[in-house]
Amino acid sequence: MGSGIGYDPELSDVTNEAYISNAITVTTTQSEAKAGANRLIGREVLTIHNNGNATIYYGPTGVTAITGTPLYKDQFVSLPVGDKIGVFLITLSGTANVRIQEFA
Amino acid sequence: MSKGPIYKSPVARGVPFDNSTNGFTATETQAAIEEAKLVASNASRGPTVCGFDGNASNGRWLEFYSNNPSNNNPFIVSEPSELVALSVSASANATGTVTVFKNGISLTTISLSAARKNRIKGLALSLTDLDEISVQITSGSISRPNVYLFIRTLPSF
Repeated sequence: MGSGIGYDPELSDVTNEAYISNAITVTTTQSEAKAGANRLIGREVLTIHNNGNATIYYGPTGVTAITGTPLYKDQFVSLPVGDKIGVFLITLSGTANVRIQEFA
Repeated sequence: MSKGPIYKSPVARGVPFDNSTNGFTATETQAAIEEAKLVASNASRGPTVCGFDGNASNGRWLEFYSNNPSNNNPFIVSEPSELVALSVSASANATGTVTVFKNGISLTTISLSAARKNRIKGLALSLTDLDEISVQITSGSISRPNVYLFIRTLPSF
């Protein structure tokens, strides 16, 4: 591999720069699915695991329980979204403990 | 982790259930499984039978086993259960009342009024281990009565 070239084809289909994780509480007011104060720079994958009893709904900002996609208790979703796109979460009622992971 | 397409893990609540041919009301799998459990747990076993081989008049204790009046030889409940229904038959039209006792206390009654049969359903009378069930004619008289007790075991899960 030539100098100055950082591309490794063996790692071209995986994320290999950063990995963070956190738990957030989702309520009837939308909150963004991110593990830190800001989206992980260079994010390539966002995972959301509903660790609570209430169904949560995910979607772009402005999401509601009517417009969002449901994520039921113990269900997990992996979204290939970068740091330019915000994914927001909301419940219809009650709160849910949700585990967020971001990969870059 | 591979970036790949969106992946969402399957859970029973998110799996559709087709109820168009099976009598279920559920439309998703979680609810269907819970509905099946409810139906199964509400099913009773075959009846426990007591009777008397003759004209049973007021005061007569019916027998779960021939020549063993149930006040002396009651039916012993073996596990947490419910009496969910009972019925009575007679060899001829009769007027009388049957009382089912639990541990000597009236649990429920069923009557005939110039009839040979009657039934009560939709009960949920609690029974527990070692309860003693005895059955007596408490008014009128009934010819060769048979009383059928439908008992279901309460689910332990």
